[in-house]
Amino acid sequence: MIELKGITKEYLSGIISKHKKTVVSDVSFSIKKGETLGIVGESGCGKTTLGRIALRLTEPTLGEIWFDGVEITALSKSSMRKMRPRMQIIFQDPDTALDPRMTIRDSIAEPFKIWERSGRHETNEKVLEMLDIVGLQPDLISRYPFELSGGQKQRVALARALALDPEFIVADEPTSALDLSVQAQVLSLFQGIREKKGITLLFISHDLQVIRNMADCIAVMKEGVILEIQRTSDLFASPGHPYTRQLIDAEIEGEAWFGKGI
Amino acid sequence: MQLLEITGLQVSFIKDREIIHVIDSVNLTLEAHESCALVGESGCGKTVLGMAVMRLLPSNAQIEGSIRYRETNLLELNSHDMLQILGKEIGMIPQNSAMVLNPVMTIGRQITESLVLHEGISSKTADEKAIYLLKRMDIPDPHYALSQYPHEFSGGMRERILIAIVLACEPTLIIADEPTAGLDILVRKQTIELLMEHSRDKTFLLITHDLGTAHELCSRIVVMYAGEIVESGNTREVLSMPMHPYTQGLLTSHPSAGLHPIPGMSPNPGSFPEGCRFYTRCSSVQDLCTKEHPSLKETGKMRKVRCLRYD
Repeated sequence: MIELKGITKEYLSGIISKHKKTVVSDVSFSIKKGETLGIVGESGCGKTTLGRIALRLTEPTLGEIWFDGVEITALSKSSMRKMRPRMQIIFQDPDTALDPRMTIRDSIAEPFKIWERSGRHETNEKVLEMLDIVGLQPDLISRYPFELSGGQKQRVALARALALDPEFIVADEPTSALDLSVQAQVLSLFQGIREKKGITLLFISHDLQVIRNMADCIAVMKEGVILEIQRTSDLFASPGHPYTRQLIDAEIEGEAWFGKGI
Repeated sequence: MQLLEITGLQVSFIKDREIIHVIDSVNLTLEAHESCALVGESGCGKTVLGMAVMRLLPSNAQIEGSIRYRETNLLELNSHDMLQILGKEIGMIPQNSAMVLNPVMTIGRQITESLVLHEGISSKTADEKAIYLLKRMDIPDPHYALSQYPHEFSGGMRERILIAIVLACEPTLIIADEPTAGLDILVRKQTIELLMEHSRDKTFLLITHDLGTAHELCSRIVVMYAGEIVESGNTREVLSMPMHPYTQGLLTSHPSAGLHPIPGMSPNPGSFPEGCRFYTRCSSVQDLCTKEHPSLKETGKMRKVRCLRYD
């Protein structure tokens, strides 16, 4: 479904003498249709940049991106725009992802309006349908983001991402701002919808346990490089890289209390 | 010896002429050298409780009950006397290191501020102490760090700088509000280890929603839901045999348990349901739960739970 080949991203800084900083270095992976690839790594490892590159929201310095048999890195702006509704992103912080001056209705209706998928009455119905899918009460429709809790806002962001029936979604730490029980709610909801619609997912997180629950395959990233990619169960059974081992050990140590006698 | 004794604490906020109860009849005692975790989800009142102890709540907050530190009721102190206690006797590691540090003040000034104020030492001696503290917090090149600004450090380092600021005057009681939120697993591990090392001879109140951190740092745990304590006891016992349906739900929500959520949402302050505040989300709800508000009952040694099933 989606394939990245030899993706490298460099940033130049400095006015007189240019410093080159490589954020993502020669990354290749592919995700099969309907599968989830998790990317795990510490902050600053380049995982967010990689997620944006996969949707061509950030241009890679080198490398190719293939989406459903098309090389999207070679597409012109207007043909790329035509591909946009098929791919979506859910951001880390629901507070900055939603426009504070737009009602929930307007936020969810915006993709329909931009793509002229429906008339006004239809739009309203579609917004209500989307709210229902993500488990929100219809009376939230005329509220503003500040009136909603973190979990509700992330559900709205999810509804907006799902509005145009995308085939591919990048979720960048979608629940790191949420509480334990709300995180469980949002993730199990998301997982259910994803399975039903057969959406291909790139799931980015620093929480190995969360990724373990969400992903078929896991890529471990550090300092812009993918250290290894394995099926989820294989990664936990036999991590190939010492850094993965370190992550899993820290996780096990942190969870040692868990499951004793429950 | 009891160091901190909170009795019948009730906190309400006045908003648009309406009174909203945020914390209801909370009793909590901390023995000297004890470490206690206060857990619950956002909006349950745990941060407000910490702020109430520090007397840092805004002016529209109404506080009833008493907060006794040693022999003094903190709620009766004037602001001058309270200042003598803040930082010196009770230190707080506040939430969100990025927001709390002053962006236009060097790290050195921020650490030595309380030292100069409380200990009355020269700024040169204070600088030396600051370097020592930063070294203990594993900040590289502490000498140079004194002249740096918060934005030059990573999130994990900022959290450790905050810990250094709080440790500067060696307070007896430390209140830490979500010290590990937003940190990566390896950085989180390092932060917990540092806290563990330096809170050993202190009394420690940890406010968090991270059950793992609570388990690692605290011998006792207090679970809050909708403004009141619903369960408390020895951390290991509570986490291995949770009694309250809410505590049980928190544990099954954990990624290690496969993310099985509690249905519904926690009620907003001001619209807590009659009867048990958890009944709308509870899987073992009975008729009586909708009418009778359960009290916090002792069920064993140190163990308390607020649920009609254990009456």
